[in-house]
Amino acid sequence: MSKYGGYMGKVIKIDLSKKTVEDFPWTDADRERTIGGKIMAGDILYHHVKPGMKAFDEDNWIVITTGPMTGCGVPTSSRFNISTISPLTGIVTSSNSGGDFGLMLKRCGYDACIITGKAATPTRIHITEDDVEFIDASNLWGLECTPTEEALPKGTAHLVIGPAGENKVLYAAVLSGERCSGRGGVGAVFGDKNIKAITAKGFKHPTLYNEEASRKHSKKWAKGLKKHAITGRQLPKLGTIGLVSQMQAHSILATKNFGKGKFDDFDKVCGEKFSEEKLTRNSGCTTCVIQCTRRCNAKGRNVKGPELETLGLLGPNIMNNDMDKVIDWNVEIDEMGMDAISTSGTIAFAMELKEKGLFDCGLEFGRNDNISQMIDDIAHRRGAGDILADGSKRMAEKFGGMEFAIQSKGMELSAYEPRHAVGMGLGYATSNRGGCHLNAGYLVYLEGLGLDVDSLTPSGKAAACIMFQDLMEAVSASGSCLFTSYPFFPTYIFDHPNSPITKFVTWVIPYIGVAMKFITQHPRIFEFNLFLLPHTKALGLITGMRSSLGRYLEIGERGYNTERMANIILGQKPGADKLPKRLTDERQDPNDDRTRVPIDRLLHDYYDIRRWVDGVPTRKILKRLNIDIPSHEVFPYSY
Amino acid sequence: MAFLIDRNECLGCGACAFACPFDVPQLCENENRFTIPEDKCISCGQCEDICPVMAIHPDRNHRKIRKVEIVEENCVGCTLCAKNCPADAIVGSVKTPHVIDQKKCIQCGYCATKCKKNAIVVSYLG
Amino acid sequence: MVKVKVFGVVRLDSGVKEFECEAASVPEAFQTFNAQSKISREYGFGDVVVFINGERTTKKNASLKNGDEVWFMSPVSGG
Repeated sequence: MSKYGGYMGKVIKIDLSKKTVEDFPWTDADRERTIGGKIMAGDILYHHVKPGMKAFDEDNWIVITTGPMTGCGVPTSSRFNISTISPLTGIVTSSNSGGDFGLMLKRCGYDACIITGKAATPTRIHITEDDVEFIDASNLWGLECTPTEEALPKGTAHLVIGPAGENKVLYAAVLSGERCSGRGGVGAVFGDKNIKAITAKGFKHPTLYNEEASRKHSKKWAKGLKKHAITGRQLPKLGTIGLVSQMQAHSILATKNFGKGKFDDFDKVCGEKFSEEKLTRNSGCTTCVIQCTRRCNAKGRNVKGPELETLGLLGPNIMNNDMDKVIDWNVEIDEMGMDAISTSGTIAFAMELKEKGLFDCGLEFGRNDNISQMIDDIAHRRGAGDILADGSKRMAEKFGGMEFAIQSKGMELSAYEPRHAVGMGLGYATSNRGGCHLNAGYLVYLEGLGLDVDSLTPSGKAAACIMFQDLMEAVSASGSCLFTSYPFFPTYIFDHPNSPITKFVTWVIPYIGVAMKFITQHPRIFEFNLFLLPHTKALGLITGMRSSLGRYLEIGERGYNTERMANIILGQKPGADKLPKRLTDERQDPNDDRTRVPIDRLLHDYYDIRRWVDGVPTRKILKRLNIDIPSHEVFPYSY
Repeated sequence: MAFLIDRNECLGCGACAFACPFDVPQLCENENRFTIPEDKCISCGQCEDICPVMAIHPDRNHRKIRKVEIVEENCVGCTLCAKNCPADAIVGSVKTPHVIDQKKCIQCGYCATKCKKNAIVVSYLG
Repeated sequence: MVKVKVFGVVRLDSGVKEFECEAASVPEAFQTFNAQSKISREYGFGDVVVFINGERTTKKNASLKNGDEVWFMSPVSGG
């Protein structure tokens, strides 16, 4: 039970080996420390993992968490999170998704569920208000994602895996209708535990602390999102693929396995062309007022269109200019249940390996007639697909080419080329789960995609990176989609990109690193709600918790540090925050030495502000954030 | 009265369809927005509560008279309906058949969605 | 002749993808754009980001020469 609104007040732990369900203790003090979502999951895993624990151990937990705002009438707030030990990286992965499942889990009366053990045979877990059932799913094993979902009972919300998860492709994903918990291989852990699907159906409702004020606030917030240039116009009309042309303009469109930042045929694979020629209508997560998803016709039916990362990584990054092919591959990857980013990053790496004479599986730059077959082979671990199914880092360990295996901590980077957006490079290197652009703080929002801050200077970037990372952690943890944080910069800046105000904001940002550092290190001073970030006020109205910008930042910081600590227990060593040599040592523009990521200088600034040493949190910051310090055997650092 | 979705405000987020106990809201063929077929809506108002843009309102021009009753032989007295009634209109003690106080009942039909024994009937008059 | 390409929401709203014109300056290029655009109001330097041959310009009246490629682009974000 909880005294706070928004929460259902219960967490269950499901044991697949014993087929039992029990209450998992989670108190209001825990809620105050973590809010929910990925921060809650990070905290749970931190207190559970032990040195040497691996993704496919029976004892590895799958932690599915919602946020207090999920399902409370707040715009764009259906998000939930799946965290577990990643088979791809060996450290914690937190994979966020939208759609119905999180909403339905709450309607069953649960804020979160933890799954441990392994089922003996393919199983569907069915969750209702009164019960958790373990239903045989042998008849579904082997099916692709859409046929699996169609076979499930109507009126339920679901999570499913496809053949990739069943075959434990290290970057297999979990799908839920149009949505996907893509990164880090959570689907493989499902497959290892023999979970083919999880379904849920319930009718409970959370109670809100101040229902009337909350609904008024939500309506105002939704209006603000509709009016903003990005959330109200660009994302619904162009989708995330609308970024391709702007990335080309700023030389951050990863091309030929991150060898270059521009692609000659970019306008054949851009979002504008998709909207003009392919788009049937837009779509999106339940409760979302942005609706950024694309829909189009392919393979004889109406399908979901590609997101930016998929289009960039299966377009320019493999030297392919045929958008129809990317649309088809996106459907195939979704049907197999795989992470589109890691799949395409690994394919690009395999292409370069062939170019350099290190490994030949038939994939080569500019050739696009054998990709569908490879996607199928990867999902079924067949032939060379079995090698690619382990990701680019393991391939580099086998065949060489580590300098151009574009991954960080083992997980492939998404489509932003960081040598022309160095703050993004820092983000990729420091991201807890590996090469993730969102966990990175999404600094491209400042460095060309949004604002146009000097993208080659390291000045001020570490401070901005940290502030964005912490804020985004807290936004995700509440149950909101990260896109709701775009209006943090008012629409004026995008409606008037050349105005004196916009120019000033753009110019001043690298210089206010000191101010951002101060805010990050003294969040308690900021005990107020900022209209630019409605999340904090909404959280207070829904839950009744004391909520403010400062508390939000602090909880986000706590989340970032807790996940980092869990990774260290799982074996992450100092010095793990790095990028492949191509991005730090090779210039994107041979005539400009600034076009490579100055990672040492950036990390120096970053660790200084976060109060870490070489990627390890100091005891001082752990104490300040109220994070338990583990025993010396497990945490042999006394920084 | 049925509920009505303002077509200019609706952004197609599907929250209403998700919340509806009877799967009533329908997505339009070629537009990303929802409509409520008035002959299927039982006016429980769950959609109005969850809509993030507050685009759903009761259509007071469309009056339907309904009656909601508990079939005594089928009721096992589990009290789920009473616990969930938004109007507090259902009385009865555990394990005895429950009864709906028709003076208090707002005919929303929510109790019918909770009943596991098919003991509650919603009928239309006139 | 200069070539003008349009990207972002402004391309969808105006219906203008690209065109060629005899323009000696950015304002003249906008004139041709507005003549073809479906948007009811006139667009100018204040509304979009302008690139000339791949470099962003902040000069409202920047001059153009034969063979230049100009981009009009709505600022975007969100991935």
